[in-house]
Amino acid sequence: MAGNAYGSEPGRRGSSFETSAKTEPRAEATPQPASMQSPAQPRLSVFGQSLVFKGNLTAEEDLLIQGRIEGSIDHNATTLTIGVHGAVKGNILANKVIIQGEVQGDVRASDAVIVEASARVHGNLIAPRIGLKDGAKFKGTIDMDPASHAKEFRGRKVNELLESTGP
Amino acid sequence: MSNASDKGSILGPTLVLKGELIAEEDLVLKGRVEGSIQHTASLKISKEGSVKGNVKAKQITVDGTVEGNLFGAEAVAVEASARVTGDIHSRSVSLIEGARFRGKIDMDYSEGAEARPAVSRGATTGK
Repeated sequence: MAGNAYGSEPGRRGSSFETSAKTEPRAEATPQPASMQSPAQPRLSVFGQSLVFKGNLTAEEDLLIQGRIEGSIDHNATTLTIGVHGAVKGNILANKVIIQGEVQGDVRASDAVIVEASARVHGNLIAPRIGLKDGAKFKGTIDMDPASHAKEFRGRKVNELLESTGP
Repeated sequence: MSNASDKGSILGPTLVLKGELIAEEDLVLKGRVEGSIQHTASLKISKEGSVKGNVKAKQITVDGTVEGNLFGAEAVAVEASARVTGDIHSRSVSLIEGARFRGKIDMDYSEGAEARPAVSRGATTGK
């Protein structure tokens, strides 16, 4: 199913990409929604099982993590999924997080955190909506009032805050 | 082999990884990695992809940008759209016309030789 997400670009080999000038295409990760990608075909990256990454990861597309990440994740797209094989040791900032695997660290989501039955989570969850399914292992605190953590969301719009307070 | 998505990983164009990446499955990199990559299968750095750091893999195909050294246990292919600044170490190196490359090419590379780096002054693989 991951393959379908990229099915939209069949002729990419043919499309000539200016090789000159642009030495640093994505030096700054400024939020650039919709303009550079078709909203109809959401992108999905798969971070496979054998992948081990130590460091900071930022992403602005939907991401499925089946590997291991040690370090922080800054995710700004619709959904970040930690798959059944995935393991994250570090803090996560995202809009919506679905956890099926293992997380050690704090999870901050501006929209929701879903902890599936197969998940093992050790850390704090901060989001306006949090789901914890029967069977999941969880140790930590849950805070559904992200307004008190607005600073930690680093200027990201938290869904609940949208109505009450301004930016 | 543009569709490696059924097996292996794809790191999309908005991904920025700062740190050390280790992988044992086929990988298509469309995002940016700042740091080293240790890889035991085939790695493709596609057009949108860029790496700043050393890359070690079995097979490396570069369509994008690399600033750093490439170590290919089997082969390194630098495609026409690639921009590579750094040294290439592999027994089999191909460089397609149109690619931009600046660095050394060393075809005497065998895996493990670089495990002892920079200790030697004259004799690299002393026997």
